[in-house]
Amino acid sequence: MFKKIKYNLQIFQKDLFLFPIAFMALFLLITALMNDNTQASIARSFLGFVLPLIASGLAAYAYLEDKALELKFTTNQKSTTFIAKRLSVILIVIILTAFIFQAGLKILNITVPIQVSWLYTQMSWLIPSLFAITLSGVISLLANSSNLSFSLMGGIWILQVVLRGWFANNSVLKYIFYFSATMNPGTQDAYLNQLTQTSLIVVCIILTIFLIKKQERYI
Amino acid sequence: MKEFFGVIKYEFLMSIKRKSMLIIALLFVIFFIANSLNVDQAIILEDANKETYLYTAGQSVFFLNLFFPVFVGISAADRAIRDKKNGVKEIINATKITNQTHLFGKYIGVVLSYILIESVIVLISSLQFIIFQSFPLIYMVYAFAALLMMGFPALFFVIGFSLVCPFFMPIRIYQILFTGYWYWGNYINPEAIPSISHTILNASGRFTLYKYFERSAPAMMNNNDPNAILNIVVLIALGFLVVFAMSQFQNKQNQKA
Repeated sequence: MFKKIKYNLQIFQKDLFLFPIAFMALFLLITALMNDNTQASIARSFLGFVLPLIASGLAAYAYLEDKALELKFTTNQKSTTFIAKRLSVILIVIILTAFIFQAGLKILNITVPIQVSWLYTQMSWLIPSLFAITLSGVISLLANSSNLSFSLMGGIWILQVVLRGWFANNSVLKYIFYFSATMNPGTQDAYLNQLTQTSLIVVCIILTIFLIKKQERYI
Repeated sequence: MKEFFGVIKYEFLMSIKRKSMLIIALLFVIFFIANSLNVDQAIILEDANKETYLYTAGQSVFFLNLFFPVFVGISAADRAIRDKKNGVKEIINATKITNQTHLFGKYIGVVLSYILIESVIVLISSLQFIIFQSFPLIYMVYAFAALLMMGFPALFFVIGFSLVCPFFMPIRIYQILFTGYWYWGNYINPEAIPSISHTILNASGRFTLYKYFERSAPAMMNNNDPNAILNIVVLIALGFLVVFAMSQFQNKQNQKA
């Protein structure tokens, strides 16, 4: 079990997993240096806004950058197992980063920005991050390019951040908008948004399973 | 010079022929044009004068600058580092092409390819305004002036760093940092979070927009805002400077090897 995790970590390069932690430490420092009014806002920004970006960046390279990919395809490993292994490593890193960040806030005596409830706060970053991970993976397989996947995901992220007001008020896009749960906590739209994103996560996973079976495209 | 133009031509064609890149560019174009269709025609027609058209042209390119350089910065990040990854750098070193010729050739080739894509986007968007919203032909000139002053400097700046930075950090980390930087460095209010968005290094085209295209420029301009022309010069110069610094660094490395 540990050997498998170690192997997966080696595939993704260890420094990539140090990066989210380093980025988290930077945000923790910025949060600590800010005054009381902006601390909660910055802490929320890291969880709700930055984590989905990091998640999509890591996931864009989850499948195609393995030098032993061709070898992997020759084994009798199920495609679902293959996908689960790749995505779970990224998800674990994102979850650990989020929890260490929240623990850091507590240690520094900064009010943890709980919105609505503890569970809601966790869902407000977990669902968009998971959506970003699965969508990024699907695009990388569709385009057969990790670089292009993140080009698109980065563009989508920046559009959503800069035009967040427009996205939040658009009658259709507000349901797939990454930051709805963070920006409008506890509203009916936010719950519907989480429900839509969860459904899209399932669709993305199904698409990934379908796409990964077309092994000849990636070797 | 022959080698230099050869590298430019090769890099330009290699960059522009990436089909999936064009598809993604097209997706952003559709979004950009769909958004430009939202411009309130009634307001424009009611107040149709040179200032209105200048304002629309400036706003359109400023809006394009929100996301196009992000797409460019991320997708151009693998252009220079791929030679090292593919193991062809040693072969290139064995030819007459110097590090300076190779890197600058790559830089200009990649910049030209994205300039072409961005120009096509602005051309289509301008034609849309001229054909469907009865804008005068002069609008095309305004739109390309805005592109020249706001879009192209950002491309020079972004591509310079995108070619060089992946030599010093994993490409994925650069891409994530770059996306975060684009928002932090250009759009965040420095009074809320410390940022460089109100300095000469802002690459969004904001200062040029306020100075030359905004209808209510005096109200929008801040006395402390940097000079728009200086902003353009600094962005382009930094792009070239970072590529030059990298070529010098590679020369030093070759001497050590």
